[in-house]
Amino acid sequence: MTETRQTVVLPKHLSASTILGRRVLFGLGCAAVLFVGIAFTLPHHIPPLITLLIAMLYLCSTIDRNYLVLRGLKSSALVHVSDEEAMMLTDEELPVYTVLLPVFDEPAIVSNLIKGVGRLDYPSDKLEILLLVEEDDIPTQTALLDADLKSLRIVLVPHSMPRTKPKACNYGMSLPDLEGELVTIYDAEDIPDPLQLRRAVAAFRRVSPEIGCLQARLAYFNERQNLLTRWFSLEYDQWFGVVLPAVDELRCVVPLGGTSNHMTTKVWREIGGWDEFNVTEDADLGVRLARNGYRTLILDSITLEEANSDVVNWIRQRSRWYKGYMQTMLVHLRSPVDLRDTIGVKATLRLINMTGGVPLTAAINLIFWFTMLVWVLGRPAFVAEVFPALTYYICLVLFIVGAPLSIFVGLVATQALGKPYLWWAALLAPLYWLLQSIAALKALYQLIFRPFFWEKTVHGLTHATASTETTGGN
Amino acid sequence: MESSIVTPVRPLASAEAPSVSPIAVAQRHWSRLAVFAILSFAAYAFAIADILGDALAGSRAVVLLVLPILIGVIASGYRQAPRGVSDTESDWIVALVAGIVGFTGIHLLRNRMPTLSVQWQLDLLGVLLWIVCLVAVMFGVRHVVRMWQLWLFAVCCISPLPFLLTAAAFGGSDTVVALLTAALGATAVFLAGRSASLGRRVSATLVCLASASALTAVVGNHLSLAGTVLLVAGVVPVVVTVVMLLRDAQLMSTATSAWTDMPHRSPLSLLMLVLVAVMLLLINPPHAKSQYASTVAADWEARAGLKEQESFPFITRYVGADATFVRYAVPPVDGMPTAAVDVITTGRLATLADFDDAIWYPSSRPVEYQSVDDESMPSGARVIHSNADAATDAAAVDWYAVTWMWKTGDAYQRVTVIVNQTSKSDVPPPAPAALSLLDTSIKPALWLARQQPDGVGQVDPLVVARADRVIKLLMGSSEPAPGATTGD
Repeated sequence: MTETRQTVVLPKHLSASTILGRRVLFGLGCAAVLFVGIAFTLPHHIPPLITLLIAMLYLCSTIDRNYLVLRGLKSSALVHVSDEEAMMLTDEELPVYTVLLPVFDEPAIVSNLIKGVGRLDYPSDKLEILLLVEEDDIPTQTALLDADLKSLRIVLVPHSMPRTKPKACNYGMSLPDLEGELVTIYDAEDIPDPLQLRRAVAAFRRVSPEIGCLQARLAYFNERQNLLTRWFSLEYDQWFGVVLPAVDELRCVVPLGGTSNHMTTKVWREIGGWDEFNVTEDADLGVRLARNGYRTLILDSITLEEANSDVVNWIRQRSRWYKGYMQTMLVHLRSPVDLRDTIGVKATLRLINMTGGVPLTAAINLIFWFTMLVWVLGRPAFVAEVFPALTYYICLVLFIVGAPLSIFVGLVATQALGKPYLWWAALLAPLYWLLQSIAALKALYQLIFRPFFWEKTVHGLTHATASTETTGGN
Repeated sequence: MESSIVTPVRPLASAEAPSVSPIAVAQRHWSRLAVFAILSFAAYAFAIADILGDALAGSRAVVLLVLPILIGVIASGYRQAPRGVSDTESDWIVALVAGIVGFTGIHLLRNRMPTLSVQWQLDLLGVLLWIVCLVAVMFGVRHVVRMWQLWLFAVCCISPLPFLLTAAAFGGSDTVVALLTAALGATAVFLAGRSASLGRRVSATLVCLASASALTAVVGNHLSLAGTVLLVAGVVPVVVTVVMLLRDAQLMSTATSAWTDMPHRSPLSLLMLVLVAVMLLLINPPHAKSQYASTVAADWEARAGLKEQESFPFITRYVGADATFVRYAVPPVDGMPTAAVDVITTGRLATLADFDDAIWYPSSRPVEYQSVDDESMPSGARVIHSNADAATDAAAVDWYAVTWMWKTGDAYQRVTVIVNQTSKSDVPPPAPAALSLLDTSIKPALWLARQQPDGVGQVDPLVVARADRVIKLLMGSSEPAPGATTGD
């Protein structure tokens, strides 16, 4: 008997495969030319209006982001499952768990697996670990040749375009003999809390059926390696430990993290799996969960990842995330009315601010800083023209209140998260914003010219001495 | 659709040994360096030609003559490709952002503070910026960041003003100038030895400094300043660096692996760089030499009835030992503001030209020279004045000055007619003062940061009339003897 693959088809209108095609780009180009023409024709009206609009949106975005952080700091909405509760589950009570491990060009995979996913505390007969290796990824396949990896199934993913992580994961999930009731995804270098799967099972039993996904917190084992890893860690501690719980509390869309998101296979199939063309398939999945009436909670269980310690590598990784955020925003704003009807106005606006709004504000930062420099050095008349009084005062507030407030909130977060040693990274955050702006420019470029290119993050750049002990757990 | 181009990466953990033969590496290395050098110099060919011309003509800003050599010396310490991830798009983005911001900044400052910009030779900062962008694109932004010591050194030396002021602070003789460049050469040797052991590095630096100092003492009086500097700050550092690098076994072995991981660049990238270089060449034409230094009678001061009132010996620290700076008193005229004539005299035109845009008089804010195209004025005359409309302290004296260059016999003179802007005051115009880094850098920067208004203020017509009257007197007294040639 031939077993058939259980493929999941994502409706075209929910896929990034058709956004910004040639036709759309041509249309956008024409609109841009027209717009520039009008701006030149009405130089005293259109440019000042645009700067006013941007400044107001930017102000709203800043207020909302700081509000989320402060709200998250005030009341944590994490789902806690104690060690005892997790260990109380008997083997019979535990469901079969599918763990996806997509890898590409990861020759150090074996040692990573032993250190990380290999330490998961879960009955081996109920664990389906699928190592998804690209068909032409010889270095990784070679590294796996002599490895003695129990409970692990190596799946060769046939070569096809786009060569993305979600495509490999979808392929893994389409295998005919999968039995998993729950599914999660880890990166090869991840070091999850050994009890994370048990905690997820316990949490799913406790929460209401509307909870479609549990996102574990991501932290970094090399956060003290250098300034960049400190920034990275501070940012993501805030994101997963403070912002996302607040977002869920406000019944808005939670963009999932790249790994450690746990959901039932049934829900995963119902919402259409991962979008193979979206380079932040995780964020996109979070939105589709919300559109299908599911909520995402943050599980208080940590997966340790490698914080990017190399600036250029960081820019590559971040540009992919930003590109993916913009893809996600564009996909779901194809029919804004539908989106609003499904998730509400507040959640729609916040979704825009948390996805496409992030790279767009980062890119706008660069323009505003540049304009300020131009004004200080040359005081050209056009700057005064495009910054009439109201715009000027909004920008002034953003500059002398918004920016220091963001730094201050970061400092508060270092204390609240129990990481006071990150204080100086919080103080130097404006330099991190500059890097974010560069990544945003790269993302915008790639969104137009290489929309589905998966900018691979290089792992294994951590110095041995920089690594800290795996704490796992909550 | 998905692009199949995968950006090459070189993780720390897998910094592999060179896989190509040394000959191939050398060939690739040199061709890229050659393209880099051509593009670097071609974009600013005219500016570089000006620098060379001035240096050979006797300018004391000789640091510029050896700066490219010293940069090359320091760069020799960065022959190994940096470890880490590389990314073509990031290289281009960083280069573009840095270029746009930097060149815009230079352009704006040149328009906002033209005199100070010329004094600082801000255009040369553009050369450095172009080279930084070029390195980012051709070798990767990682190289640029790693070479921060080189850029710091270059930024400190690219403008001749700090060098000239430092030389002045130490007495300003030609020997001091040569020794200063020798010290810079030794610094370059130290920076070039970053991969060598500390002992070897320090030894090489000391050997360079000692030999350059000794050579200055031996040949300083026999060679021109440019020749001496080329020897002590050009040849000596190169020789010492080559010896240091060749004697270091470790560097010998790593030299062959140099540049093995240079990022790939497409012909389109190269074409774009060439286009930018051509554009820079077009927007940086050769400086139009003003037709100054008309030949005048040697005794024009006496013929004009001027009497020497005061001399300012500090000028020798700037323009050279043979220079004089004399203030001549102008007889007062009832109802007119007080005036004086200040004359800097030297036998070397190039050294005088080094300070063409210097402002020797005190001012609470940056002031600008403005060219005057008027037949009643000497050729190449420029006007400059402080802002009498701006609030200032009670002790300050506002002034109005007209300056130009004359040639008398073998000497060149910068003549400045200066008038007190307060009509009813007996106080003479302010005396010239030595230049300082504070007045030429920190104060203007603070003024810029305070966002003060740009207005230059109005000058009382009586003040202008007084200056015109003195100029007319001087011009009338300067007629050369029959048969003398005019112009330079």
